[in-house]
Amino acid sequence: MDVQKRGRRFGGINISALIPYFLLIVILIIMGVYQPGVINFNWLNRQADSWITLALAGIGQTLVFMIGGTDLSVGGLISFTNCLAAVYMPESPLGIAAFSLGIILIGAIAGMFNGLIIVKFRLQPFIATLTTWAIWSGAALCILSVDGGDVPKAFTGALLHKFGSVKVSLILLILLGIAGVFFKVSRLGIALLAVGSNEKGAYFGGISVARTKIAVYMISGTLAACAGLFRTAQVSSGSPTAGDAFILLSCAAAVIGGCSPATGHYSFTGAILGAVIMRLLTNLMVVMGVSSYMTSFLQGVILILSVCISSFTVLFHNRKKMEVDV
Amino acid sequence: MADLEIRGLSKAFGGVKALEQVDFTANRGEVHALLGENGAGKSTLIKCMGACQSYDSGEIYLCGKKLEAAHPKQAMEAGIGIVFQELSLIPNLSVADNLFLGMNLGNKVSVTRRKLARERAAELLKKYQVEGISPDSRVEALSLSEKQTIEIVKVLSRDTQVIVFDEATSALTANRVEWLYQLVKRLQQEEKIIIFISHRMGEIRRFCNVVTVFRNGRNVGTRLLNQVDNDQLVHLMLGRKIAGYYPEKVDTHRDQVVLETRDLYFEHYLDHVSLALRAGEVVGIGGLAGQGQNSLLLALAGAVKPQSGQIFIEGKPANLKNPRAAMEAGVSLVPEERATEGLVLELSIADNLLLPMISTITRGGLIDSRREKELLRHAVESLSIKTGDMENPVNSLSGGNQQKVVLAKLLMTHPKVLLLYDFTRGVDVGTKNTMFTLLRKLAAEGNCILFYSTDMEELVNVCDRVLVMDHGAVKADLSGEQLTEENILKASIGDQVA
Repeated sequence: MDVQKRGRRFGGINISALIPYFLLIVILIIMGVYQPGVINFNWLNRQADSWITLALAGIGQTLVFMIGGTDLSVGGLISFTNCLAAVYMPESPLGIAAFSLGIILIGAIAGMFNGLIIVKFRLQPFIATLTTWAIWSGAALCILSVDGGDVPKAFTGALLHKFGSVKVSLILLILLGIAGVFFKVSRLGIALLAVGSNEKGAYFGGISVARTKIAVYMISGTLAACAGLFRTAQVSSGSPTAGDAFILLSCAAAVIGGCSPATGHYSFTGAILGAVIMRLLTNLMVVMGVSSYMTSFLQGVILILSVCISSFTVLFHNRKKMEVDV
Repeated sequence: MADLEIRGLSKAFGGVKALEQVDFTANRGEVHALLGENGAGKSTLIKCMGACQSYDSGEIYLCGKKLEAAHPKQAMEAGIGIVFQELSLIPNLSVADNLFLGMNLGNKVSVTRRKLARERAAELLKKYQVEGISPDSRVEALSLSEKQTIEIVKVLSRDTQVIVFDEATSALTANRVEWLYQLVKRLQQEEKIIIFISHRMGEIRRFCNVVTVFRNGRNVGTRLLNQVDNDQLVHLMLGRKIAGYYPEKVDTHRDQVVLETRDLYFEHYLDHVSLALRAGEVVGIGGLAGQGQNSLLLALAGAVKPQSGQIFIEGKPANLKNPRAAMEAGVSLVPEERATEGLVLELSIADNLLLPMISTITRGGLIDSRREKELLRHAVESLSIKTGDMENPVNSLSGGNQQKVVLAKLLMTHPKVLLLYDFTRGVDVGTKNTMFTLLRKLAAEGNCILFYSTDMEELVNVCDRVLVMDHGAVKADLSGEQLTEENILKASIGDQVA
């Protein structure tokens, strides 16, 4: 046995992964107290629609966080895809399918563009995606300067369809959670952790760091486009500012979801729960009669609290190294 | 043609020639040691072989075929496996995932892939007789020795023709070194080309049969180990050096102890370091790179806190909780990275100089410009800094002059103890002379200087005595007749000092 094993048990503790479950329980209890009997299956079905859009963006943001990046462009991309679908989507079923696929493709390309400029020009992800956010927001405004548009009934019907009594979005949320388990052990999933935790090591280990990063931004873009499509179906119209709230909310979903680049912990389920929590909090504030002006303020407070908690676990994690800690 | 042949390999970093027209050959079934001082070019050579670094000119042939790899993975596929000194493992992944990182396991779907990786990892660990490490452990939770073991297994699993061990033993515990020895012997029987970098002479003699010595980026000779003794090897490593720009050493030490440490300890970094520095003395710290020298200086400068142990300044226990506290107690550090830790490159020369003094020259939050000018004039004169204009940004100065600014900045706080981390690196000869003269002058004035350098020649010619560190502990305290490059080197590589 080696002598250097002291303190190893601490490596396994991951407080931030437990935060979403704890928060969710607290919120559900408060909701139960304020509105007894409101939480049932129908409620779940209704809520799932608002959860899915944020969950999609939150999962994308989580993956980007894990490679040490940020993706602000999701906001612009959601607005753009929303407006595009609301204005130009054809009526025929085949046309709807082809158009939706096209929009998802646009999301992938937009994400790839983010990845390319970040990798090739070594831009800070924050700056790169801030500019692409502006570009996509601008493009959305070109299509639709005020809220409006006309969404085909068949499209709305398809995304809001119920299988038996279960909504598409609820099924999708569950599928996403399961997909996450597979993703984490896939080649890309492992490459992502490798790049996020030791870029040089990943490179020496034969992983293409550039390709991994680009792939992650592509996933984020694709998921944002999907969120845009759902948003279009749910609201049945387009808005050039639909996506802006998603910037803060998707980051919040990722952080509250317990993702931590330093320790390598993350999960799709966490991100989904993070999204659910942020949505429920907004609902709760409405129920409790908090002014809508306060919503953003409180969301910010909650976000900073969870960031501090996860940062604290990282500090704990690093205490074994003798490094300069400013 | 030899099995591995390198011809005329050159690599320069800026103006520094890391490798200069290096020829090197190694054959199957031999264990070939590479020997040389820090910065002699061994690591650069193997990084070039492994395509972790590009080279300016030259060719590498493996079994008669020219190697043209642009990426570490391609070099690995061409048959060159390198066990790195700085571990290339991913801390957040499991042992199994690390072992098969970047490898194609037959493109299985993710869940069966994971199962396959785990099974294959278990097989590998069994094959190489690694006990006590589970394929499912996160690498982060392993000890340093275990990590190094996994790194070795990872490279061996690629079944490459060449296997390079870059100081692989320095992180291993004694019984794992024994394990590695058996492994190397087995690889030797399998007719692999084995290259072994180590600074420990005993190990080299035990593991290897051929040795090639490097000095200043050149191959200075290949010998059979049973035909050469340690003194001859040390001589080859050091070569003949030119004497020149060192000021005369005058013993100015006083008996008063300025700084004393007792049992400074930090797991893996510092091993019970106790030392006493006297006024008027220039003390060097030597040893191989990364043996705790940096940690020691950082601890004395208040930048990191040891897990246990005490520091005394002028006999009184000192609580150096941050660099500012250390400065107030009279200890100042010229840090490792001049550009990032010592200077704020975009600020002007004047602002940089005044940074540590800012509180003494401000009145009501505003800077007292008369006092400022006076201080600056004094600083520039004492160090003969060539400055066009004090308002120019510091990055407009040459490396040597930048370093002078760093030093001048610290001297303005009148430290009793000056800690210098390899501060002559990248500094031209003329500037070095000014610096060393200044160090001796400061010592004569009763200051105490602790000076870490990777250049043994400097240590011998500038310092009154030299402490040699190894594995975080001070292993030798050389002074007077004993203070020679040979002895520093011997102490660094675990040999007895004559």
